[in-house]
Amino acid sequence: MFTTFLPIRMKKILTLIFIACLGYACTPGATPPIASQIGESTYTPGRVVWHDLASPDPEASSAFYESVFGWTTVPYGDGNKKVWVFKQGDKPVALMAYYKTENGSGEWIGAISVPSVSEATAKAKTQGAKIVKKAMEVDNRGTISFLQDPQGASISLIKLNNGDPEPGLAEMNTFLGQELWTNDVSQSTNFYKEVVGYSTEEIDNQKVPYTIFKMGDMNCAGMLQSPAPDVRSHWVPYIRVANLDETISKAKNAGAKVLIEPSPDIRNGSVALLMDPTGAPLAVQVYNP
Amino acid sequence: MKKKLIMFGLIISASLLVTACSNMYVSGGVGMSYYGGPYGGVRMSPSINVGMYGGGMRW
Repeated sequence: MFTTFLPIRMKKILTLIFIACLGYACTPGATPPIASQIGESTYTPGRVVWHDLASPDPEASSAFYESVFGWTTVPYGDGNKKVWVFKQGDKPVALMAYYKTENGSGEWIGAISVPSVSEATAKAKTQGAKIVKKAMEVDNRGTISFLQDPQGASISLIKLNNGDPEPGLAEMNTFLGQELWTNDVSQSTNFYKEVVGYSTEEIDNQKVPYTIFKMGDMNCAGMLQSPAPDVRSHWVPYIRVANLDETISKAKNAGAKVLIEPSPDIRNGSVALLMDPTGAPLAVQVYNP
Repeated sequence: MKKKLIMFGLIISASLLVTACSNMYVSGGVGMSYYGGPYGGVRMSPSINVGMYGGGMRW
């Protein structure tokens, strides 16, 4: 080989460069220990068990969620592999990654627990979804895929390594769950039934028709005809808060816009819809069952 | 000749390893082609029909 003819010093330099390149390429960063910190030993297919924030401005997102919900932001990795874990106390609540988005705005993407990510992703494709990232293994997390459902709503499918978080009432300043704002209730119903295996329950005794996605007796997610018809279908995450007015005030000060103000006519004034400083929608709710 | 073959094998193995390692992910979504959020940014004012919002989930 050509290296046989290189001077010894040059060979040493090349060897060092090679080792450095190898080390850099093979370093996945300090991978966030998510699965081991949130997972229990069992799985609850159908539940939204994790949340990713696709942010075009991680610094702005970090400042917002820290000031409004008291989360801390822990960076992992370097360069284009860098991600941030949002923590409530010692517990991870979500992960943020930088996305150079075309329209400059962010979005929360919920991860639905499924028994087999590859099988569910394949079903999603046959049902008209756009597969954005096919099923892949992620260190310290599990198997995950990202897709857009036939209405364009972003969602991911996941099987965590160590089991799903235990079902139960969300702690303050953590996620209650997700709600799908769809432009086609019928098509979305069929899609999620087929891909995730949900059954549905219609609630007609409320102000607007509302669908609950269920797995057995367990409520997994909600769905309603989108109140924002000019916008593509999307999932809205709900974060449980102790005081709605205080949260809204903090959010406004941190650069959020209030899209739906609290109203006695809407869920007894317990909820507001916000847009964070990167444009990602989220709802905050006082929920004390 | 034997030394050259061993060296050749090592280089091929190393190049495969580098390729594999460079595809390691720390986050599922990193590197994903993504248009962006539904509302197009905080400067936008999406039209929301508040009358269509309601119902409620028992979380």
